Amino acid sequence: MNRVIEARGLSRQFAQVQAVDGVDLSLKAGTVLGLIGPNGAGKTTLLRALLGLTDCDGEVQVLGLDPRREHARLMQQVCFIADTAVLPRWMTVLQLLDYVSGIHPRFDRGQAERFLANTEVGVKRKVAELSKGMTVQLHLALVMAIDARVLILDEPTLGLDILFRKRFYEQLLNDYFDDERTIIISTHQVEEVQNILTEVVFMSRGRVILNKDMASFETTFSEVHVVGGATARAEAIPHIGSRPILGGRAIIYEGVDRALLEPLGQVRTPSVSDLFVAKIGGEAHHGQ
Amino acid sequence: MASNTSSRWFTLVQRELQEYRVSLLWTPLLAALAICVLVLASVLLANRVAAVGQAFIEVVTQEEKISGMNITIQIDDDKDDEVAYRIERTEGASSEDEWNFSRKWTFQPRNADTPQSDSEVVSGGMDYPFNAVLGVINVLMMVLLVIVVVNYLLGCLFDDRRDRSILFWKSMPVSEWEVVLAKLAVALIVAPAIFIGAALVAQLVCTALSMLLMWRMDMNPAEQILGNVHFGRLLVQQVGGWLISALWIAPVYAWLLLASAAARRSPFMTAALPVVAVVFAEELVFGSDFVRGAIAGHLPDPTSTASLPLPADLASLLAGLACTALLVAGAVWLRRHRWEI
Repeated sequence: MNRVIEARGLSRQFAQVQAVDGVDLSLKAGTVLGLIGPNGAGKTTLLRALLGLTDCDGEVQVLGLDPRREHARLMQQVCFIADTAVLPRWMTVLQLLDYVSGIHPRFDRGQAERFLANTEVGVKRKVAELSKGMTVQLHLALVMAIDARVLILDEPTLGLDILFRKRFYEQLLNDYFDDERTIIISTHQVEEVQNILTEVVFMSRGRVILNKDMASFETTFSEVHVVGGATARAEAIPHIGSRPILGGRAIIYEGVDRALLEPLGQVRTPSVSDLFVAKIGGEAHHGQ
Repeated sequence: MASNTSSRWFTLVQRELQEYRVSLLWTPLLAALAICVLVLASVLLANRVAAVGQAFIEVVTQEEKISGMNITIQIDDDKDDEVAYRIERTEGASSEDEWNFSRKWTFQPRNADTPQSDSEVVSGGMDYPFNAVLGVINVLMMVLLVIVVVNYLLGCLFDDRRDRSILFWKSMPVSEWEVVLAKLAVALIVAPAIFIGAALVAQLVCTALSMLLMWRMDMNPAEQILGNVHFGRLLVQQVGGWLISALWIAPVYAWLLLASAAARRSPFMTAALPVVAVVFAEELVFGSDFVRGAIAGHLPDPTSTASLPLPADLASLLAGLACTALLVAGAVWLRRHRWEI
C-alpha cells in the first residue's frame, strides 16, 4: 500500500454551496502537503471528509480505511488538530494526559511530558487558564507524542503571533516528521510553511486549481522582474499573473522556458504566496 | 500503551466524573454531610428536650405493622419546633406513598453489629421501623440523584458541541457508541452507585448517632436501635430498588441523551417540547391519553414502586427497553452525522 490517502471525485454540497467539488487527491508516505486557499474555499470540508467527520460523495480511503465507517479505527493512525482551541476547557493538563493515555494505544505519555517540560504549560493548570499559544503548544505536544502515520492540521496557528508560529513548524519538522509520516497543513500563512512542504495544493471554490510537487515547482513556474522597456515584451508572453514592484513589474509564468525569459530581466522561482495570489486572482477574474 | 477494554471504559467514565465533578461527586457528598449534621443537631436537641426524645423512641421501636412513616407523622403533631429537621424530612416523604417506599428504597450494608441485630429482632420479622427512618435518607438522595442526572444527560452531548471540544474528542480513537454508552452507564449505574454509597454512609452515621442518643437517655442502644434495623435488608432493597428503577427509567434517560445530541440551542426544550406536543395532540385529536400513560410509567420517581418483584406491567418494561436501544442508536447517529451546531 504505497498511497496513504486516495480520494477520487470527492464532493460535498451544503444547502446552497458546493463546498467541495470533485476533488482528487493522492498522497504517499513522507509527504508534507500544504493546502492553501482563501476563506470558504472548502479546505476544512475537504479535511473533514478525509477524517470521516462529514458525509461526502465520491471515494475516499485513508490508510486503506473508509474514514466514514471506520472513524474510530482510523483515529489510531491519524491525528488531527481541527482548529485552535478545541481542547476541553474544563480539563486540567494532567487530566488530559490521563485521558489520552487511557484511550490512545499509540500515545507515549513520557514523550508528551518531555515536550511540555520545554513550554510554560504547567500540568496542574486548566486548559481554560492557558493562553491561546499555550493551548496550541499543549495540543501539539499531545499530537506529537502519538505515533501516528498521518497528521492533519487545519489552520493550526491561526491567531498566534509569529514567534509561536515559527516554533510550531520548527518543532513539527524537527521532532515529528520522518519519511514514514504524512502531514497535511491547511493555512493562510503560506510563507511560514512553504519551506517545509513537499507538495502544494491550491483550492478555490471547492476545486483544486493546482496540485504540484515542490520539486517540480522550480521547473514549472518562473517569475521575472522587469523594468522599463522590457515590460511590454514580457507581458506579451502568456503569463498567469503580474504585479507591480518597485520600478517595474513582477510577472509569473507557467511552463515557459527560462532561457526565453533570461534576456527580459532577473528570473527566479516565485514564492508560493505570490503564485497563490496570481492563480487565485486569475480564477476570480475568470469567474466574473 | 494500556488500552485494553476495561481501562478504556475506566478512562471514559473517569472523564465524565471529572467534567461533572461538582454534580456527580460533590453534591452527594455534601448532601450526605448535611443530613448527618442535621441528625446530629436533632440528636443533641432531643437529648435536652424530653418529649422529643420520647417521640424518637416511639418511632424507632414501634411494633405495629404500619410503616414507620405513619408514626413519624404522629411525632409531627406533638413535636417541638426545634426538631424541625427530622420532621420536615419525614413529612416530605410521608406525603408520598409510604408503604412502597419504605420497602423500596431502603438499603444499608451489613456492618459488624448486624449479627447482633438479627438475634435481637422482636418485631414481626418483616418490619424494621428504623429501616424506614433510614429509608428517608435514601429517598432524599434519590430525588437529588434524579435532578442531577437529568441535568447531566441534557448537557453531556451538547456542551462539547457548543464549545467545539467535540473536535478534540473525535480525534481520539473512540467510537460514538462507546461515548454514548459510557454516558448512559454513568447515568444509570455510576452516579446512582455514588449517591447510594453516600446515602449509605449517612445512614450508618445516623444509626450511630441514634445509638448515642439512646445511650445518653440511659437506654440500651443495641436493643432500641440495632433491634429495629436490618442492614442487610436495607442494602438489598436500596440497591435492588435502584436496579429495577434503572430498567424503567432507561428509555427516559435515552430520550434525554437524544435531545442532548440533537439540540441546537436548548437541550431541555428539545427534550420537553416534542413530548408535550405529542401528548396534547393525542388528547385533542383522539381524546385519549395513551402516550401520557406510557411515558408516565417510565418517569423517574424515587418514591414510586420499585419493589423487588417485577412490576406487573412487563410489556411496558420491555417496550421501554426496546425504545432505549432505538433512542441510543439515534443519539449515536446524530453524534456522527449532525454534530455541528
